[in-house]
Amino acid sequence: MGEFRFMQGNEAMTEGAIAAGARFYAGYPITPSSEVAETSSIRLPQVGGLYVQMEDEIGSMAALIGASASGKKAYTATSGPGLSLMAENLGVAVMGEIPCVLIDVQRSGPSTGLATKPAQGDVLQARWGTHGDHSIIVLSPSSVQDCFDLMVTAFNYSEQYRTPVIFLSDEIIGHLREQVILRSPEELEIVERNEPTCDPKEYRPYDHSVGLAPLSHFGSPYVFKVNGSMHDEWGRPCARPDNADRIIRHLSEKIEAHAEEIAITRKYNMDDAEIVLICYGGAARSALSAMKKAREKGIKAGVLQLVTLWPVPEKDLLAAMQTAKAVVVPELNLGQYIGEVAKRNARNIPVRGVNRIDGQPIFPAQILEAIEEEAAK
Amino acid sequence: MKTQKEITISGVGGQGMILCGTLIAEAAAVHEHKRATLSSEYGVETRGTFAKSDVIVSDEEIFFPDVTEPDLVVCLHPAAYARYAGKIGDALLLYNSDEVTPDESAAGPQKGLAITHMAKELGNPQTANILTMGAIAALTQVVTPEGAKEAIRKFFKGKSDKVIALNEKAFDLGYEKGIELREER
Repeated sequence: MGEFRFMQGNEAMTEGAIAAGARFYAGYPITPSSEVAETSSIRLPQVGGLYVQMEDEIGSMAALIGASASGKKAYTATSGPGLSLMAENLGVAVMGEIPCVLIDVQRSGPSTGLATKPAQGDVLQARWGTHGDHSIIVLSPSSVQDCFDLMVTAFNYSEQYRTPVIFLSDEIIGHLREQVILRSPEELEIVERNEPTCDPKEYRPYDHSVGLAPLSHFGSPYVFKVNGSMHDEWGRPCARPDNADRIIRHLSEKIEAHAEEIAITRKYNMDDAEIVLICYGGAARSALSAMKKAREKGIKAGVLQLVTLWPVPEKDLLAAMQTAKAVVVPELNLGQYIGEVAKRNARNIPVRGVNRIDGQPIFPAQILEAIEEEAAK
Repeated sequence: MKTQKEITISGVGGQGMILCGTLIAEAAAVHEHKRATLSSEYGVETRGTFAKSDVIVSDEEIFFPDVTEPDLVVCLHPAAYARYAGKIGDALLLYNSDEVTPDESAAGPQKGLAITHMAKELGNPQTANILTMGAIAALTQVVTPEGAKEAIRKFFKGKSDKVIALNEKAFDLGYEKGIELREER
């Protein structure tokens, strides 16, 4: 079942997107995500899809919205500087409830930073990069297999919840080459768009009074508008306070109310873990190595890996905070997700970061040192 | 017994080290059915600044994909040699003797191979990375020559038979020289 391959994370994302049914890519290549563009430009035409190299990332995001509103599963890939440019139109996709997938292969920033070096500096930008209250789904892969499998999940979530999904990778995983099984179609569960079946005259694409409204596509008999301004159930401009209140609450609740269904986590040696490493993405690989070394030394270390970063996987995070003696959060930033961990620290246990921002990966020895210090307390 | 082998292939951008490492790791994963990873580091410049690729081959799942306990470090350029010479414990350092003037006082075992010269003799200096691949295969035994050449043929698929044959020849020469170095140790 499936096809065994040795490939790069970025290439596997392209294969995952295609397996999920994506047939449109618009983007502007940027290190360390360029291989997604490169392989998409080759692979999409082979499956009847379309690849467009855009003038910039603002245009890329606009093209994604147009393609998705026209019924195609659409994706793009960028890095931090490009995500900044996409942030404006990302808001349009949030407001218009247009499914699409944005890959961010994080590199060291701010600005051009260290263009070829890894970082995890966009964790909060992914959550709050576009302005205004909203919720969003962010997934973080830690292997080439994840790059394939989770891309399918990303598209599924995006259709299921009518939302942009950010696929928050990093240079470590994007450029890592390792084995992957490209799963065959029969192994995959694919969520297709929930298209309306009502009388076209009755179609209200933003009426979420009975579950999430179905989404049609441009060119169908179901006429609908995508409006970045406050709009009523039909998509017509509407500035009524009660309507604005309804929309903003809906944009958050349609995701937050399903946080546990969206949550993907992995637990390693958590049954008896005293020192818990809470981690994600490329840093999870360092954490797992450190955990293994700590166990060899007889320290009860465990790993809670967060694959879904946003919405926060509350249940597993709270459970870990309930039982741990101390928590270590390794991140390739100055401490972005550790804030979420600290917010849930009801028992006031030690929570410490292991941070690296010099363009180098976190070495397992650095995490091991923190584990040993906490274990000795 | 250590079931994991770690190899760093270093030099400057443009020397084909990432391809060299990729083909070794791919051969190990696809043809030898081992776990293998390839990670790389390079600068924003296309050519001329420090770059490396790290290959890990293991019987078990590999977590951290960068080399921390090397078995072999290959240095194709003085900039890379300066970074590793005397700093890699008991690991073997293999340097390109056409580019690198070794520091005889540096701690740890080191061996030179005239990689550039041999690649030129074969008819194309660009085969240096495949020649290096042969030497690595011989010194570490992480891949068999058959598996490695299968990966080479797959990579050069679509190129002329002449190109494929030349690269296979480069691998064989590197492998032969690697075996000689191994016996010297």
